[in-house]
Amino acid sequence: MGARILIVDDDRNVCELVAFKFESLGFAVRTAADGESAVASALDDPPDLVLLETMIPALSGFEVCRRLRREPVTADLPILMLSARTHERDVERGFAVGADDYVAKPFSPRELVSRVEAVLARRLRASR
Amino acid sequence: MTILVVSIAVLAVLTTTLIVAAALHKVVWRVRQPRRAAVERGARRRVVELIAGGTISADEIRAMPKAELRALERMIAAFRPKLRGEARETLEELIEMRNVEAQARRRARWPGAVGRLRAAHTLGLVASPSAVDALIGLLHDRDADVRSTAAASLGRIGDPRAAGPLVCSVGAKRVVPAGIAVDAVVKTGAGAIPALLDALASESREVRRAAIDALGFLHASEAVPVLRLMLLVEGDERSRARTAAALGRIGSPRAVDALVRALDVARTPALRVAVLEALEALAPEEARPAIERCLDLDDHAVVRTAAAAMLALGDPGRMALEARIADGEAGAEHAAERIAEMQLALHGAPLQRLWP
Repeated sequence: MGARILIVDDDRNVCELVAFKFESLGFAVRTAADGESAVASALDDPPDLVLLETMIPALSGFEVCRRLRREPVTADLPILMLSARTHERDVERGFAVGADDYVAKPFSPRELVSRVEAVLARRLRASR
Repeated sequence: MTILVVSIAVLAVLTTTLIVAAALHKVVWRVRQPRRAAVERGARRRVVELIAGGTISADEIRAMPKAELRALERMIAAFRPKLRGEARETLEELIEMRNVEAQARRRARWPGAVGRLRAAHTLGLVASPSAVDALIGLLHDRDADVRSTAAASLGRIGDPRAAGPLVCSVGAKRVVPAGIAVDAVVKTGAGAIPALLDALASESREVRRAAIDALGFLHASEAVPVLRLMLLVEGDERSRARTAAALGRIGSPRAVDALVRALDVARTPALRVAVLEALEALAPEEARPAIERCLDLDDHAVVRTAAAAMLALGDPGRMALEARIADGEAGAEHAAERIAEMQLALHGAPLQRLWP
């Protein structure tokens, strides 16, 4: 089985599209629609990568990222932000709270897959 | 007496009919809702599969039931602005096949406002150059909601060609609310600036004000020379206050001398507050005497804003304020109040009691 990905987005369309794309490539995908459940899900069973929208209910994506970085079990988890917030300040903030990459919407699903694979490969190399 | 009885009876019948109709509507809606949701889910799945590399032929589309086709169109329109690259091209091909845009442009000429409203929304999602032209036309629609939706859709598309018509729409006979028009222009980004600079010369005060606001939100530094001039020569003080606010947002030190002069000749507290807020954002040391003079004025809001502008100058401003408070000079109480508020915001509690 491929890597396990947690997709966090309250937009059902984006969630289903990204999930479908990764499932068809052999990844095991699960989803969360808000910040609280994303944190709970990641802590309960840490995935191999989190794809995180910044504008989600309950907790913002930035806060989710910050909390995951604080917890020992998810501190090194690769986190890729996929966000409609495209201002350079938001991108800067994303990296400041610990994101490994930041993809702005509108996005290309193919490019997203490449970026996820690159982040996972980097992590794998680093862990060897 | 008979008339009264008959009236009551008619009223009772009408009320009962209305209640029954509302209940029936609710029942029908509830019965249809699961089916609608299922159609929506199916359409979402279909679009997702298409984006991921699936295919659909024109014949298949033609053979689709009307409800499914509509759901598919809605879903394509919802997905399109979130994607780019090949995925977006796939959806554009589908739009071409279904001719969603042509339909929406036809609907934009319908006599019913609801049809035109839907057209304005759909054209915003389609976001093609010809959709922009149709939406610019809808800015002059006879229905206010259609005009506002068209403006919001133009903002979503962000085509600079729409900036001029958008800003002028706030001064038109069939007006678009300034907040919606300015928001749409700002979403267009820096490409809107040339049209906004042209709009500063408009005869309409509303258009000039909207252009000033938008230039400020866009941080258009190229507008500073014109705005400096407008700050001093604009006829009414409300427009000048908006100009001061815009200069503050742009944040150019080139605006400081004009702001200081405007502060000295201002007649209304609203203009003084706007200029002081701009000076607070710019924090120029050379403006300190003019800001300090405002501490002696007899208006709570002006003195508080002047105190904030003094604090923005750093230690010299803070020390001058504290000396004034210690001497119990005019405005000292409002200034102290502002300092205490700022300390509260910064440290969670005032650091010291500033006046007895």
